[in-house]
Amino acid sequence: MSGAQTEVPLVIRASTGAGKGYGGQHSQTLEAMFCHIPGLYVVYPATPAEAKGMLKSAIRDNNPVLFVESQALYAMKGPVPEGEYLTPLGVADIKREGTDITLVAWGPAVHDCLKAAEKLAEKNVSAEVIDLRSLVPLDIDTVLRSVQKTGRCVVASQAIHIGSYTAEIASTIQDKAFDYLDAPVKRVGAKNGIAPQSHILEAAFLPNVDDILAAAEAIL
Amino acid sequence: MTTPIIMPKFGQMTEESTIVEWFKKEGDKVAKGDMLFAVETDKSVMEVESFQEGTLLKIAVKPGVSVPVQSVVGFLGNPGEAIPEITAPTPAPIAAKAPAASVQVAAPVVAAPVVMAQPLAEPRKAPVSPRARALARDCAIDPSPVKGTGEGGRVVERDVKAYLEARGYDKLRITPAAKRLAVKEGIDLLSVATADGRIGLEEVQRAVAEKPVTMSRMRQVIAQRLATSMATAPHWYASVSADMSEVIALRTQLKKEGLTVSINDFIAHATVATLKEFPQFNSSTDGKSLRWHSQVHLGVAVSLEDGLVVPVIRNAGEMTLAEIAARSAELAAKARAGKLAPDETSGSTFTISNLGMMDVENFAAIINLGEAAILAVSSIIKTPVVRDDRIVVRPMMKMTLSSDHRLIDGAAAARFINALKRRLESAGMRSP
Repeated sequence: MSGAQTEVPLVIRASTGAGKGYGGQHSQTLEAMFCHIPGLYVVYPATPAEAKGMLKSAIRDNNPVLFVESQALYAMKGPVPEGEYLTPLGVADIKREGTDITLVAWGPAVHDCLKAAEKLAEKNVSAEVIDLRSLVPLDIDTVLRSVQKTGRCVVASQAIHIGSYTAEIASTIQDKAFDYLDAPVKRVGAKNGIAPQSHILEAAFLPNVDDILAAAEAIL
Repeated sequence: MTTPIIMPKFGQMTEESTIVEWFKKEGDKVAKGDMLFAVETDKSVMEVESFQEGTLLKIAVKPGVSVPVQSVVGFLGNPGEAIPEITAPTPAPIAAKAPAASVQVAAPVVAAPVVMAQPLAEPRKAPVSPRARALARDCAIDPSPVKGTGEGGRVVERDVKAYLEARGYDKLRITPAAKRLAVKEGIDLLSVATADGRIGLEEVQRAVAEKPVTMSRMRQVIAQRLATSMATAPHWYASVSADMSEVIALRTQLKKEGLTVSINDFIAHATVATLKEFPQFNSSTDGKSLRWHSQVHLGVAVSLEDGLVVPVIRNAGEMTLAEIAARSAELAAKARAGKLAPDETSGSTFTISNLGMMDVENFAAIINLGEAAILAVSSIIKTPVVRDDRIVVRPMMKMTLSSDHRLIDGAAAARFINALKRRLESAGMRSP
């Protein structure tokens, strides 16, 4: 419409996710909805260092960027380099290398995948963990390279199953790497429903390390 | 403007057909009435002509592919025209059918459309993962004997690897050309391995030549019908020898009078008369009920290069010998040219199989599915026989009647075949 004459150098920080017992009004994981809006960048850092580096990249970028932050990760501590640095948008990060199965995640689910990878290692299963970091633009090549190597994949996020962005990733993998797959791509997410307020019910609603392990073991 | 070329529906029961050959190439000019392609239905090969002129823009259905009737198989038009997307043939609307799920609802309050629940196909029994399949394909082996250890018994990569190791695949010495050909032709290299483990192009070429090929539709129909008949109808056989002196004499005389009648026509004519006398031979059964046929539709088996067809002489019971001869000659010519219409190869009530020209002393035929009996006719052979206590040489012809014993008792079959024999041997025939 504007013939690329207009830019929107805007960053919207969106605090999302469940885990604090805030109930249905404040505990949604809605990144899939933002990803569906054409022209909008959607990024979702999982560590303090990346939160800083990606926020700076997002601000310097002249596209509108939806900067998704997980409430559950606000209290997380981790090393953050001093000074100016930029973490590029649209580049996934291999958080752990492995050869037997690929675990793809973003946001808090990255940490669950890393814990699951530890447990799989005890059983001599070498899991690779990929943190997408940026959902739009998406670095699918890093995911496909990994799946070509391992032949198996679990995609995890904290969003409910219906319409989750995990489906987009799983669908792209089976389309682009079908002949490399040794098993169906599994998806892990929250139960279909509204986030409950009770801590016990909320824990049952959210995906956890055991869910990722169960999905991985089903296809190993 | 492009015009779609449609696969015609040849018979009432024809639901799909296979193109055997296209007579035109893409880009060829087509005149009105030109033959476009040949189609193989269950029983015959038909040629399909163009009703329009133009250029054959696109062949959408290649030979050997079976498609539903009314499907688009290609397009005619002017050179350079865009070819439309091919959509599935539109099924005729059925009044009682439930509306489709995507129906647009205009009124604000309308009951949800009823959607017929279609059950999903059962999961495959021995699934092979795409990765395992790709490995098997790259190694040119057949993964079907591999035991799966994946989810639900799925064959996964490690299973193929274990199988390759167990079968000593890594010890095979396969030439690159042999492997290329094996991958291309889908030959299982493990099945062509020589004793010393060397696999050359020659071994693979031999395997390609021996690879099973799909039988023609006609052959498959024959196989299925014969097997069903043999399995469901208990066959019972009775043979006689008929002295054909009278028939031969009459045939010679008719020829002098300008009427050509084959030996088989005499047999057909005599058989029809005998069937009228013994109507239970002109009936059929499914094992529970008995069905009488008021008309005799006589099937006459005709052997072809690659199979056999049984053209049917309809209402043979009302035909004279000359009429039977004429109709039979016409149908046999059409059969050999592969031009029988589907309605000319179905609906017989009794069948004759004649190997008289093939120098056969005696044989028994398998009943045409759904009929009570079949008559197998052998060659006329000059044979010494006893007549009035003297040995004389006579042109003898053996006939064997195969009967469905569920319908026909032994004594009835014996009476039938002897009545037929008497007809052929007697001068009572002399009224064509």
